[in-house]
Amino acid sequence: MVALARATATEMPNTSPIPENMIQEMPDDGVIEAIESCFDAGWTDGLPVVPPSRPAVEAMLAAGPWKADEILLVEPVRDRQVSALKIAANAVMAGCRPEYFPVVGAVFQAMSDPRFNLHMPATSTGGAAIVTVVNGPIRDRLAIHYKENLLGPGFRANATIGRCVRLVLRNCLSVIPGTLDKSTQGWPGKYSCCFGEDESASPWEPFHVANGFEAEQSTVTIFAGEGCHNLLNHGSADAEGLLMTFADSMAAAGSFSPGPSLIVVAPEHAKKLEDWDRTQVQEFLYENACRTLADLKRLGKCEADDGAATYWVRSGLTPLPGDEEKIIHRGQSPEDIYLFVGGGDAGGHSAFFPSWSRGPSVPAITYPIPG
Amino acid sequence: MPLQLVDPTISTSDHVVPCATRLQSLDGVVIGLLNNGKTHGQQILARIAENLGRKYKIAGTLPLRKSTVSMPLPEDEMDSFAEECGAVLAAVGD
Repeated sequence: MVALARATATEMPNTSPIPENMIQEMPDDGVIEAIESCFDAGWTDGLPVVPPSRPAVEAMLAAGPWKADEILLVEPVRDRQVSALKIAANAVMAGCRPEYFPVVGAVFQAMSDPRFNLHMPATSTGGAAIVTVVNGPIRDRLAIHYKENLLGPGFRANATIGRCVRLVLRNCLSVIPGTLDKSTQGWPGKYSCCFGEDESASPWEPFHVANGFEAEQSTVTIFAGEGCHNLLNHGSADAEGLLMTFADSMAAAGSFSPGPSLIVVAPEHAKKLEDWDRTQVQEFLYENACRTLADLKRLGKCEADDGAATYWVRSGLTPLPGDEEKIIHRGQSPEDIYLFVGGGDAGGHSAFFPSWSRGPSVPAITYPIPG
Repeated sequence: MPLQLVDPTISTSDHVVPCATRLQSLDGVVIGLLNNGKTHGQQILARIAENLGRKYKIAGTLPLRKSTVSMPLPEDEMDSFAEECGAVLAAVGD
């Protein structure tokens, strides 16, 4: 990177796909100064970035199937369109290797799906992170980690692909804390939250196959998530006991909503689910992750009935006769529970990501990775 | 030789939306109240409409609720709302 950062105009190929008006020149005072200038320009997430030198961005672009001016991300509310070039510059800053670029591009194409409603999770007080899960053969080709500490630090592909999401939101959609990013608190996954599914440890077909993709087709799945909850269970001998622990956490008042759920089942837990198919697990969790409407009203989880009530959240503030018997499930249906497998082989620790959304409006989106 | 960095940002300067023509008075005007659909949008608008009614001889108010919080009002709804109202207030009540 030092050599790339020091490349000069005379060394540039005259066939560069990068227009001259997108180049900023600054004195070459060394790597540290270049990093500091990125801070000064307001381009970072608070951590140092790799300066997006022209050759590095060209190399990033060359590793994907897209032309520099091809639009990969569309955000209709604020009428923003983000080109492959801009995303490549942010991928360099995030520390991505060029071979990660097809994954990065697919993440932004997924985020452009109107169903994802990007403006909401990007700006809301709820403080969502874009949780990104990778399936398919590309996981091993790029060393996208899916075993021990998969949700934590230590793995370049995981860390930098996830980080690029945040940098693009900041630099291309103005999702900056205190201005357009109105997260009340946010959570550390907003720096980066990307991991693979451990398909070989799963008792079921991989997530993307369950959603209609060929096993050989690599995919990204994005989900607007709150911070994850540990699903600790070392004692249950059978699936039901284990899943009741999952359901109990899913029904916790703090994150209870009609929104979807993403669960990363630890391999040790996955073994206990071998005799259950994916649908059975989803149905069991949906059935048991529930509370009474009266309970939800007492807890302050409901809002005033303003005449537009289409679901329980807007059913009024005061418990009414019959509310004690009215059972409210987390999510809208069993299909709202997305199941992945991942983590170290040892340990009864799975993870539950509640959806950021308080409504059913933002589903997970799965998108194919090119190549 | 200078260092060449690729600008990773998108400028907002080409997204300027001009303001609508200002009204000289609200007397005799129907005020549209566009609720963004969040929890307290309706309350904010109702209070503002009440205050406007005290200060001006408005012709009335016309409430409308967006079906999706984060998306703009669909263009056809926007057009018919603009036809019916002399001025519109939009609330972002959370």
